[in-house]
Formats: sequence, structure tokens, C-alpha cells
Amino acid sequence: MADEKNNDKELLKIFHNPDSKNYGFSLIVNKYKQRIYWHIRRLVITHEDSDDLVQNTFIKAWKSLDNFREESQLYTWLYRIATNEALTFLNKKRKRFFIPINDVEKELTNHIETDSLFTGDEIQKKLQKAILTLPEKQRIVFNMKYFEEMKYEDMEEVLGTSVGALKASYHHAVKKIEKYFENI
Amino acid sequence: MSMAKNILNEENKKNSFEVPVEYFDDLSLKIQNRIQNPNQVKANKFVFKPILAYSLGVVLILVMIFGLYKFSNSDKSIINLNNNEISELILNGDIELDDDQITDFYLANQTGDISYISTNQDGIYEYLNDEDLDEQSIYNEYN
Repeated sequence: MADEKNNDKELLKIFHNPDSKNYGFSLIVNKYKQRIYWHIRRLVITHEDSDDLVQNTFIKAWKSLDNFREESQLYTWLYRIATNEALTFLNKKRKRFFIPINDVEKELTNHIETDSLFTGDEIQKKLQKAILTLPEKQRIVFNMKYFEEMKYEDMEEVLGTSVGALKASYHHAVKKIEKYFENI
Repeated sequence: MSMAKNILNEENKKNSFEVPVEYFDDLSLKIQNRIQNPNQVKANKFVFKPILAYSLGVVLILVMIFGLYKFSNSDKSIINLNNNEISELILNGDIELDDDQITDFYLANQTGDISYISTNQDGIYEYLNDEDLDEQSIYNEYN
């Protein structure tokens, strides 16, 4: 992890040099594009929306990176932008179609059924559907902990929620998913 | 029960989603292009703000409803005219009808009592005088 931080410092140094700004940014994009994409994809489910949002995330990062003061890690900062982008997108989607909150998750569940880019088996499909029944915040916490194996301290930086609250949130999410599987 | 407890195992952690072939290879280039061309609007993007689009839709629907209402009412206004009103319209030249149409109308509505054509209408009275005709002879001619 220390190596990663040092590596990010190096990348930022290249970025902050006016002569190598573009190169520095392309190194940052190449390093984090996949992690950021998968984080967004697990939240919004469809590839097309994830593609838009990952691009928006890096464009916002490009505009704000000059002001990044390195009080947090580069990758948690990028995760925070990506999470906000995904949540804003889901909220807009709810308002756009004048549909109740649960229906967006229902729409995403239906998409999993028909998505040719979903390659998981039946159990994994049910797991994704179970995750979509969770409240939004629990869903984010669950994805970051279970799939991305992120440390609670890093999640705290991304979500601005205390470690204790994150642990409780993850615990509740696990219980709900287990209950979901008991009932099917 | 055991399945529920074991569902969150290592096996199910593996990624169930895929991306199109070479997607990540092209992604950096796409981001670079959008940074260099910030004003480029994606072709398939919704160009209106949703609120504007919905407002426009509502206005169009209201215009259509208003149009349909006016159309159906215009029919009703003709249908609801009584015979005297129709006669006045014909005599004032507001409705242009040829002689056959006037005759058909007259016969269709005649009841033997011809009072519904107002005889104090100057135009028709003078016309009948000039032509040396009276209403009864017209009635007799067509019956």
C-alpha cells in the first residue's frame, strides 16, 4: 500500500509538471480506469451507463486535479467522484421517469436477466438481484467490501462515514442477503 | 440454510459482468478525446433538459385536446342550428348552396307549413315578386 501511495505521488508529480500534464493524466487513467469502471458498473449495472459515467468521472478528475491537495489518497478521491457520479445518475433516472425509488432497482434487476454482458451463473445472478434489494448506501458498502475488498479506512475516505458505521452497514447487508437466499 | 450462509464465499466474488472486446484499450482514448473536445455533444444524448422536454410534451397534448374540442364543437354548432337559422344563413349568403341543394333542403324539411322561411325577408320577398312566383307554387311544383 505504501508503494501504491508513493507511485501515486509520482504520477501526481508528472501531472503537475506543465510539460507532462497530459502524459501524467493518461498514466492515472490507465492505472485506475478498470477499478473505477467496475465500481460504477456494480452500482448502475448496465455497460452503456457505466461507460458514460467512467468517462465523466475522469473528466471531472482532470478539471479538479490541479486543486487536489493530497490530503486523501488519489484512488479514494477518484472513487469518491465515481460514487457521486453513479448516485447522481441513479437519482436523475428516478426523477426522469417519475417512478418510485424501488422501480429503478427493479429495472436494473430485469436488465441483469437480459444482459448479454452478464456472464455469471444462476447463483451469481441471484446474488446480484439480492444486492439490488439493499438500500443504496448498504449496497455501495457491500460492493466495496465484498467484491473490491477495500479496507474500511479507505471506504471512510470515500464515503465520509465512520468505520464503525461502515462495519454495521456491511453486517446488515450480509444478513439481508443471507435472508434473501433463505427465502428463495 | 447452509446455502444462505455459504453464499458469500470466494467463488461468488468473481466478476459476473463483462465488457465489449477491447473496451478498456479504447477507454483512455475516449476520455482523452472528450477532454480535448469538451463541447462535443454525444449524438445519442438527450439534447433537451428533461423538464423542457416534458413541458413541450404537455403543451403539445393540450394543443391537440383544444384542437379536437374546437373541431367537435364546430360540428355541433351547425348541427344544433334550427331551420330558421339555417335559412337565414342561406339567404345572407353565409352558406353557398346551389338551387338543387336549396330545393333538397326545402323538401326535406317541408311539413306543409312553410312558415319557417321568414317571408318578411326583403331579399326573398322581392325575388318572388320579380319572378312572379309565390311560395305555394314552388311547393306544388316539387310535390
